[in-house]
Amino acid sequence: MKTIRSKEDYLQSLKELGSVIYLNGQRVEDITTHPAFIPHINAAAKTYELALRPESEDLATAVSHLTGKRINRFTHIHQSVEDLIKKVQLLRLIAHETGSCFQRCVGWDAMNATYMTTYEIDQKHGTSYHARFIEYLKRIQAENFMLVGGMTDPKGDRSLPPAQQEDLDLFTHVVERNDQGIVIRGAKAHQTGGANSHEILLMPTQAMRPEDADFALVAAVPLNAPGVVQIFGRQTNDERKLTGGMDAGNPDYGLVGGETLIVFDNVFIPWERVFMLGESEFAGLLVERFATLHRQNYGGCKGGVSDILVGACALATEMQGSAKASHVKEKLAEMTHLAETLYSGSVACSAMGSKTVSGAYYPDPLLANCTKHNVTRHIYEIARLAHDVAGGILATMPSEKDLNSPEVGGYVRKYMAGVKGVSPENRMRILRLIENMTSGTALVESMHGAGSPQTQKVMYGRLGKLDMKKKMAAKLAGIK
Amino acid sequence: MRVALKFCGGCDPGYERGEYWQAIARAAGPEIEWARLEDQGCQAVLLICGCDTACVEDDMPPGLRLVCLRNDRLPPRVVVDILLQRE
Repeated sequence: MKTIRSKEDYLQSLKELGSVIYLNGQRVEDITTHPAFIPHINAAAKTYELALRPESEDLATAVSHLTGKRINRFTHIHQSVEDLIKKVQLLRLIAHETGSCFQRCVGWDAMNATYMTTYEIDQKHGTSYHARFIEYLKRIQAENFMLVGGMTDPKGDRSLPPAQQEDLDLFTHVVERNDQGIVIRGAKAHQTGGANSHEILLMPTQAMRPEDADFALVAAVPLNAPGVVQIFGRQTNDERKLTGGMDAGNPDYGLVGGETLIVFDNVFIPWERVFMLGESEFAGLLVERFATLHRQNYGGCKGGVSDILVGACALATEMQGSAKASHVKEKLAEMTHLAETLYSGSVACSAMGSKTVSGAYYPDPLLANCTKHNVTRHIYEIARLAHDVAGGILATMPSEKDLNSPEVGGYVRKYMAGVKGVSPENRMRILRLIENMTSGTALVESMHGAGSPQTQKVMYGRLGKLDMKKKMAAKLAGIK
Repeated sequence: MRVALKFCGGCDPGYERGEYWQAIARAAGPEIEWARLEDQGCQAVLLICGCDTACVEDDMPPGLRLVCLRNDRLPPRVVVDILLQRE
């Protein structure tokens, strides 16, 4: 693949890739010209554009520890605590530019988790996964392609392990091994940015037992490989993307990531793209690392998105004449507090990061989990406050077509008026942006993206040092 | 005078760093030739940071005179005078 540097390169690469993608039961031949996909592609393209801009290159690029060359930071293996912090800063920056999800962190986290874990698998088993992965990583860094991190299997009956499912394909697994490679079958759900990524890095979805060895798989697959089919998910108000304009709310960058169900229907993978197969005791470690690296992100991107929402609410209240009301000021202050709290968590888990035996740096897992857990709460509260200060008009406002209608446009302008001098159209634009950023899919993504809240609570039990806390309490209480 | 221009990454800047630099460049006119940090022959570095943290300040090359801006309070002409050591 030609090296992707600019947004134009990225769009051309997606046209040439020709992945099989379905939307509403129809095959989409070129996602780069389809309005359902364009906003998500624009958001991901920011990861390329910012690397070329002097004002952001310090965050958006890094120096490869493999080649010494300057690379896009989304292809970098973290080499220091500073790298971990810059990751979070970069996510906040891109969220400021897009007000949405730019998707590329998933693959980045998958690469870092795989890098760390393959090193340790090789140490124990004498395999050569790490060397293989380094060769693959060099290609990613040189060509700068977009990788989606494929972790979540559909999972079927959650009470049963993979090997006991009635339909084994509900967990992605190996169905054939030969001299050339393996054949897999299954699917990965909720794949953020899948439609506009070039390759997927498959990982196991959960800890595995020895009898689940065929499901303990890490491998890279081009998304245009024979047998790979993607089905694009629906989002709240997604038909508004088809007409564009102000009713879409954030017409250029859309609403969260754009997710696909990626199906692997007997897909061949050559051995040089297999980075773990059967070492089931490492599946849990890999999942935990990916989850920690991904949960580290959320105070960066969601903090940044919340900054936009605070700004949007401040503008809306100015336009409506309520900005000076003490309760509005108090609510905007609370939104700011919650957004900065999210960001603080991401910075903290990065600052307390540590070096793994592979040399790659890893955030503090307990703090990273707390950060993501706060996102499952604070984003809802920030959205609630946004709905409160914006007013009920958020849910009842006429459309852009009504605004521009020769018959009723005059009424819309007359009755959407706010403070003197403010155009009704601008007031409607900012309210639509607030609606977009606080509507159903945006909230659900905050709840379940990077793992549902219960997965974070499980980690507290493991990482919360409860025995030490009991000892400290007992000592102060004078208990012998 | 040849000056290397460097921006911090801009995670949460308090002002428009790019616009501020453009105003400085306009104020400097031909008196300053702008270069990148990796270019040779610079006499100074203008580092434009978005906030007081100035997190890339410690990464600047030691041999060059550093002018680090953390906000846009200084008038562009004054920044030029500082770079040209006319203050």
